[in-house]
Amino acid sequence: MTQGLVAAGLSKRFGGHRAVREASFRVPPGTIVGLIGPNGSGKTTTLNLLNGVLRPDAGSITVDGVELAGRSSREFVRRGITRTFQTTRVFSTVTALENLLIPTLHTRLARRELHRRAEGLLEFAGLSAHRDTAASELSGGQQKLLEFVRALMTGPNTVLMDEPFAGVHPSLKETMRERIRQRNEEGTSFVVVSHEIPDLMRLSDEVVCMSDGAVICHGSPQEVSEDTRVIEAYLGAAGRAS
Amino acid sequence: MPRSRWLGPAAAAGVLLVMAPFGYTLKLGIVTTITAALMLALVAHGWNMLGGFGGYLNFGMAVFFGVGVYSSAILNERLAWGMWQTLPVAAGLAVLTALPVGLATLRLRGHYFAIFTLVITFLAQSAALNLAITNGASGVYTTAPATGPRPIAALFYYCFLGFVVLATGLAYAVQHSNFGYALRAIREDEDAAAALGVRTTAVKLAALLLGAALAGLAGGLYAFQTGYIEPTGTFSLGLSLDVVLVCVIGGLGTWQGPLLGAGIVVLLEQWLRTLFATVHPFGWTIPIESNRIVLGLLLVLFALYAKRGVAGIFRPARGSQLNV
Repeated sequence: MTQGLVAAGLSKRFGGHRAVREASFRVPPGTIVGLIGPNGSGKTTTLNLLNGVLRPDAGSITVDGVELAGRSSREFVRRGITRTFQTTRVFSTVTALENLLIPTLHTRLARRELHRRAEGLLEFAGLSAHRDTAASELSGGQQKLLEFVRALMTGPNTVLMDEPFAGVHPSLKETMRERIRQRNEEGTSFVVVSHEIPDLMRLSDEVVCMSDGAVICHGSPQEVSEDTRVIEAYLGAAGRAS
Repeated sequence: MPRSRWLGPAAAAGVLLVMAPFGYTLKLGIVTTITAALMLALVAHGWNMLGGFGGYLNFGMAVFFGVGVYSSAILNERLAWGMWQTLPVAAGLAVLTALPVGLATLRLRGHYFAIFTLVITFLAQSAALNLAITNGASGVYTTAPATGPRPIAALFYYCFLGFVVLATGLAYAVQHSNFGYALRAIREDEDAAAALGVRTTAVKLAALLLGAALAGLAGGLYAFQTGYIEPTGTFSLGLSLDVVLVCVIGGLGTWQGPLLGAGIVVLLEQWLRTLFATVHPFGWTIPIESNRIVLGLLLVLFALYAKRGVAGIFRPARGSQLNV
C-alpha cells in the first residue's frame, strides 16, 4: 500500500483552458510539501482537486492507498484531508469556538470532547480570549489562525493550506509557521501553497513547482531552487539569490 | 457559556407564565387572536429552520401546512379519528411530502429551491381541488374536540401554546448546536462548508423536514380549530408569504424571531382591519385587503434597513447581515 497522499496524472480542464495537466506528486506522511508556481499555474486548482472541491477529468488521488478521485469533500475529510482557503473563509456570524465545531457535525465524538478539543486548539492558536467573539471581529491574521485550527478540528493527517502567510502581520506569520512546524512534528503532513518563497523553502521538506498546469520540478528545497526550469518559469534572479 | 444566553429564555419563560391563564381569563376574541398568532409562530418556526438558519427561501410552507390540515380532517371525517390521534399522521405526511421536494431541489442552490416551492403551492391547491379524497372544492368538515365557544377557544389556545413552547425549545437547541452552526455556515458560504466536510444537502434536507413536521402539526390542529377546510384557503400563498414576513420582521435565524414576528404581524393586521373599516378618507372605503400592502411595505423596509429584525435589537451585531 502506498502511504500518504498521492496524486497521479491529475488533469482538470475549464472549457478550453487546461488548468492542471497530468500533475503527479506524493505527500509522504509527516512531511511539509511546498507548492509553488507563478499565478495561474494551477496550484489552487490542484488543492481543490486534492480536497474533492473539484472532480478531476483524469488521474488518481489516493490516501493511504484508498482511491478518492471524484469523491466528495466529506470523503476526503473522513480520510484525513482538510484545508484552508486562499482568501480567508471563516464564518463571520458565528463565534470562534462555533467556527471550529462546524466541521465536526458528522463526527461521533461527544459534545464535551469536541468542546475540549476546540478550546485546546484555540489555545494552541493563541485565540482563547476570543472564544466567544464573532469571527468577523477578529483581525485578518487571527482569522487566518482560526481557519488553520478549524482545519485541525477533525484530526487530519494532511492539511492543505492555500496562501497561509498572505496579508498577515510578520509576527503572526511567525506564529503561523511555528504552529505548522509544531503540528508537523506531531505527525501531520502539510501541503502549503505560497508566494513567500524564502519562508516556504525554510519550512518545507519537499517542494513541488507547477507551471502552466504541469509539475515541472519536485525535490528538496535546495534542488528546486537550483533547477533551471523553476528559475526560468518562476523564481528568476530573486529566487536564485534567496 | 455567556450569561446573556440565559436572558432570552428567562424572559420567554416569564412571558409564558403571564400567558398561562389567558385561555380562560381574556375575552374570547382576544384569545382567538392570540391563538392565530401562536399558529403563525408555529409555522414560522418551521420555516425558520431552513429559511432563517440556512438561508434558503421557501415559499411552500402552505403545502406542508395544508397536507397536515387535510390529513387530520380526512382521518377525522372518514375514520372518526380524534384530534390527538391524527396529529402524528399530519406531521408525518407533511414530512413525507417535503422529502421528495427536498431531494429534488436541495442539491441546487438558492433561487431554484424558492421557485420550486412556489410552484408546488399551486400544484397542491390544484390537486386538492380535483382529488376525490379531498372532496374537491366542497371541502371537508371536522368534529370539534370540545363543545361551547370558551372550551374550544381555550383548548386550541393551550394546544398551540404548548406546541409553540416545544418548537421554541427546538429552535433554541438548533441555534446552539453543531447542526445549527452548520446551517449558518451554509447560509454564509455553502461552498466553504462543503469543503470542510459538511454534508450540506443532508443538513438542508434535515432542516426542511423538521420545518415541514412543525407546519404539518400546526395544520393538523388548525383542521379541528376551524371545523371546515377547503383547498383555496388551505393551500394559500398568503400563509407562505406571511411566515416569511414574520421571520424577517422578528429576526431570521433566531429562536425569538418567529415569536416576536408573529405577535407583531397579527396585531398589526388586526389594527389595520379596524382602522380601514372606520377611516374613510375623502369618503372612500379602503378595502380590508389593503393591509397586505402595508405588510408588504414593512417587509421591504425590514429587508432593506433592519435585516436582523426585532430580535436584532436585543442581540449584539455579529458579522455580516443575514440574508435570504
